[in-house]
Amino acid sequence: MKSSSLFLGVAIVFGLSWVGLVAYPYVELGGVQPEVSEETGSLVPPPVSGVAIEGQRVYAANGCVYCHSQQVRPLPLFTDIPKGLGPRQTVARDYLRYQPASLGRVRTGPDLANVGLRRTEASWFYQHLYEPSVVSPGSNMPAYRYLFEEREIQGQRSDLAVNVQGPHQPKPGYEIVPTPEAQALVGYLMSLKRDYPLPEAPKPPEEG
Amino acid sequence: MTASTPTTQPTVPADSSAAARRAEVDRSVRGLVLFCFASAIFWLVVGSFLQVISGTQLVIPSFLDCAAFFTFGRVQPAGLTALVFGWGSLAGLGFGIWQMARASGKVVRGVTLPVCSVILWNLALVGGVLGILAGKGSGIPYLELPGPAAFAILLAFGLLVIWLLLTLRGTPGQPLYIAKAFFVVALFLFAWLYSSANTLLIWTVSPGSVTGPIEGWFENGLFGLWLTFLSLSALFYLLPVAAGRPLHSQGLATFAFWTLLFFGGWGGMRYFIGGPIPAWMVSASVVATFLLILPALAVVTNLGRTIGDAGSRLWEAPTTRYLIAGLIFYFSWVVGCAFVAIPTVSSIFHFTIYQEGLTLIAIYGFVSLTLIGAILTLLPRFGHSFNPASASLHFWLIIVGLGLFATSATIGGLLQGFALYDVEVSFLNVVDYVFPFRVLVFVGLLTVFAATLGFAALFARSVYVPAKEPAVPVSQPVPQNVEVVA
Amino acid sequence: MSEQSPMNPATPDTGEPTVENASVPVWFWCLSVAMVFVGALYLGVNSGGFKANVFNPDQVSWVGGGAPAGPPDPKVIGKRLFSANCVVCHQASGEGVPGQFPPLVDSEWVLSKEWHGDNHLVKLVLSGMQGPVTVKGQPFNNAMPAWKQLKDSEIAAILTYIRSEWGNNAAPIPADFVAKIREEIADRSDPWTQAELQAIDRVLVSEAEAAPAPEEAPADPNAQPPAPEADQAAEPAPGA
Repeated sequence: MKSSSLFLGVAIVFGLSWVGLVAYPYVELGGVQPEVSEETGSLVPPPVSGVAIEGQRVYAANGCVYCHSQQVRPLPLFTDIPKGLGPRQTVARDYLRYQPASLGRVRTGPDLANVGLRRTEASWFYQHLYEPSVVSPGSNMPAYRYLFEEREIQGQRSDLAVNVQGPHQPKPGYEIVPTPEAQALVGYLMSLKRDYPLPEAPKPPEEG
Repeated sequence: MTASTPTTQPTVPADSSAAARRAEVDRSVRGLVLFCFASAIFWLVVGSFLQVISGTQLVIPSFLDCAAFFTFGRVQPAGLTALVFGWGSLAGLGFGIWQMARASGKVVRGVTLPVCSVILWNLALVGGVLGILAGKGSGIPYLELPGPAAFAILLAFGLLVIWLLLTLRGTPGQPLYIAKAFFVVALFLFAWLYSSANTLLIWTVSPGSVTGPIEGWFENGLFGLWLTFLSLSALFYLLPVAAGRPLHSQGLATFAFWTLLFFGGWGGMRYFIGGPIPAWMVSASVVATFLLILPALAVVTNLGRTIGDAGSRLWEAPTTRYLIAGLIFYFSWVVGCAFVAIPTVSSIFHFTIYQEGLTLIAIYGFVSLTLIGAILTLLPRFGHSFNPASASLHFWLIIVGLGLFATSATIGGLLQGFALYDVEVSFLNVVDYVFPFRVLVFVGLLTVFAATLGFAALFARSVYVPAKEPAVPVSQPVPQNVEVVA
Repeated sequence: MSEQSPMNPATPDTGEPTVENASVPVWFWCLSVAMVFVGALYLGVNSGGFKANVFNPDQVSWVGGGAPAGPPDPKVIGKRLFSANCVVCHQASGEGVPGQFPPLVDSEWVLSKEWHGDNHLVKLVLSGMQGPVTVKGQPFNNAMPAWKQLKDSEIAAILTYIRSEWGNNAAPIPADFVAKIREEIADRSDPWTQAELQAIDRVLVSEAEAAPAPEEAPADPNAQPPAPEADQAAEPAPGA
């Protein structure tokens, strides 16, 4: 076979997958827009704060995706919804606000697609990131103490100061406060709420 | 040493002069190929070391949790990046360069450009891996390398390919042997895959709704096309030569080539079964991943019939044993991927340690066994002899590691999968169930790391230290003072 | 030299590999065709109609095609629109304000009882109403503005909502019924009076559908069907 016709053939055969799995979603899924929900009258997916966008970068840079997925798979084949990972299947539009999306390949840690629905207190997130094994005994998550700093208490204790339990206590007169990175990360995690209605992702009926 | 100009075609008057010619060709690319291999082995050791660290962290979460630099989420992708872009890619390129030089029969004179490309590749990877550890990674599997590092790798790759095509093009009209076709097309595919994915996800910003499809397409292509083509190229070249027989069937080889190319490209959404990807794309990938069994079967049948009754002889030799095992793990890996692509199976096994095990089988089983086998086969040509017992020891160490990966992937994956599936089981219980298997994976990674260290030492000794009593006789030791880098 | 210079003990350096041309075995072709056939069948069944907005292949098969999901529940939309537009007078409880704004709960106007028809209800919402009216035996004398600016589907959603809330139980009002009425009274700009409405024949949704008028029955089995039986319609389908 001539090399020119070989390469033409290769380009066509492989190019088909590029058209189908790259170009097509780039146009069809990249082109979807937030829209006003008929049901609630507000924009879906809801706008996300700048802190959360910043936190997404912290999430990516620290490789959270290598343990945590962010996908809720649908009934009837998968049990994600009865397991409480989310009220409905996640669809492409759910990820519109984050660049990139962190879908994940494994669930070494629990799925985080809707962690903002399950946990609503920033202090829990800070405690958990600082020393996961204290907040969730038996957890195999590493500690992220490097996202916190120990500083001298200036007058009053900071509102953000972590209520540290466990072995890594601050020195007397000092407190543990989250760095801006940790604050952004927690802002991001708390923004992960995929409970708004989307027409392409119907909620399963109550009695499964 | 006299060398004819690269454009002169070799004449083949007699067998001995053809062999002399081959030796001359080998010597002309010796420095370049050995540099590729040495770099690759460096990354194999680095990557395996990082894998050991991250594997330890999965067993002892507090291991090295003091600094951001060593956090699991950075060490893990840094290790995988080193293994894929350092080890697999450079080793495959090194073998491919040698193979193209052999096929063209040309004596290469100037290797400054390719050597500089490989240096640039290495520097980019050093910067990139350190960048990932420093928190500059993108968070997208296998596209972690920071933008500039990815660009530098593509640049180095581009220069290398241009040099290859300018210098080592075959003669027009010369029949294209399948191994060379795999290699040359792999180059084309890597350029397409890596530039396309980086352009859309790293160098520019795309909406999160398209991250999944593009990263899936890339990851699948990286393993299923780039690394697979490089490794199959080595298998298709070396196994018939080792068996001393012609390849059984051109038809089966051609069939495997085109079906692999087609289905290999379409398999990317298998990572997202049930995920936020349009149903038809996922279903297409499920089918494609399943149909990849066909080319795998064609490859195994073809090479199996080529080897025929020479199989036991090839298994006895420590070098070709690697190649045969690589072929077996190729098939197991493809079947393993197809198995978990069945949606019902995926509902249990997806997101579990099974997927991690499958990646390790692909990297260490298929790609590494094949390419280590290829390097060991070429070593006596380029370096001194080596101790076959040592190569055999490394082999069995890797096999032990792979056995542990496979056990934890299947049994651990099954347990973890059912626990994740069961509505009654809490997540922390799932962590408990899978813990013993993480210990097994850790032991496996440690074993494999030991093997890679031994292999690196063997490689270094073979290149630099002449053995006193060569265990493998090499009748004509290559002179050490050959000027290889112009 | 080729014989004495092995690449390794098992690998005599015989030069470039060569190739034979054994044909592809028949069993292999058969297997390939069978697997590709099964694969194509699987893809066809699980393609979700090859649409970019279908994410669950179990939701819609390629045979059904059509929209991936039923439209959102009109009662949910109706509640939102009712809260935004109607509660000022009729109150969130639907009880109205005695002597000023008539109640909706158990109102014969809302439930189309006695002489009242679904057509009257839609008409008065579209064009408004003024002057003395009697609701549940109580006299009121006030004015209700016209709600022409709302879309057919929105008026239908509000009416469906108030006919199924607070213990009310009457058939939903479909959007095309509203559209038909809007067309009928296209040139009317004045608010209605009770006397005017009473002079118009009573029409019910169920009758309007039975009539030969070109009603577009929803083809999609997933869509919320406007139930034909008036008394059951407001109930959610049992076990759905």
